[in-house]
Amino acid sequence: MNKAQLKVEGGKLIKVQLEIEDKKIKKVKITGDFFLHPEELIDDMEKAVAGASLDEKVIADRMI
Amino acid sequence: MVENWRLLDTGLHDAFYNMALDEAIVLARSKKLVPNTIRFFRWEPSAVSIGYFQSMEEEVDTAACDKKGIDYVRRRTGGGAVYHDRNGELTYSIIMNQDHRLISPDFQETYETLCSGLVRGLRRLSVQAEFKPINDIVVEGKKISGNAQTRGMNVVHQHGTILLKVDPSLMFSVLKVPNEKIRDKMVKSVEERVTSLERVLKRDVGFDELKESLVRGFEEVFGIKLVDEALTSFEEQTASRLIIEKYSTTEWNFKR
Repeated sequence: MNKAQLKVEGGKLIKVQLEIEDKKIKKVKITGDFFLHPEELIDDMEKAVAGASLDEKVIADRMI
Repeated sequence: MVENWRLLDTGLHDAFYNMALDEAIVLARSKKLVPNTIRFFRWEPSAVSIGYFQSMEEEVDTAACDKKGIDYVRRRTGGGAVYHDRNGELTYSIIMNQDHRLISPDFQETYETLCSGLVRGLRRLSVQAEFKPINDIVVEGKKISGNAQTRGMNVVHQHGTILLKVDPSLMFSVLKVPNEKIRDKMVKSVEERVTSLERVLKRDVGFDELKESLVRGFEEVFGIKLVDEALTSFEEQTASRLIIEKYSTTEWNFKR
């Protein structure tokens, strides 16, 4: 399990847990004290990056 | 014509009922079964609520909660973990239609508008409260109120807390800290960043006094009249269902 977290200065914390298999994202869990509307989008975002290769652009494109 | 809104004071309840009832009122409002509503409530037993996106395991010392008889529940709103002390905190909810004149498409602006009712209420108590973006109310730079908002089904739901008394060491006894060495540091930092009505006014402020003041604040700033009204049976039944199906379940509370 890979973990990373980003604290926005004076703001919110985003934590990401990543399971990787064969250089691809197997599963991702995004947690933290942030706000996102509508809230259910988080599930779609997590599902969208599953199977993505470990490339920032690929991952970002899938999230949008 | 001044708009009439419903005022609900639901008193002391456990965490699951409290969160279920908020959602039940949202559903009732979306079906236009009830008017716009401001609800006051408290927590018995004391409880911890976590934001929609937080991990229960990571944020809450559930073993400590179990031992102390403190509830823990996930909210339908984002934001951070909050310790709701039975005797030290008042919680409110605002549930209203999204196409209302007070609501902006911009969350930030709406936080400020809705919080300004609380700010006015606190100022009536001679508390020099100010809104602090994103979603806090502070006195002399220290937080006295935290707020969280969500939207859906043409309803805006904002809930938040007002601290009458604060005990940071108790707060951290139920929240997870990264390691024991920094527990004291975190307690100290909360001491420096958080305040309460008792600390500001150097006297005990009762729940009734606070609620009365907030009611006037909301009425003045929102241009509304708050009218005492009961819950509908739809809301009561929906809340009972949501306790069983959602807020008391491990599936919901530990879903992240």
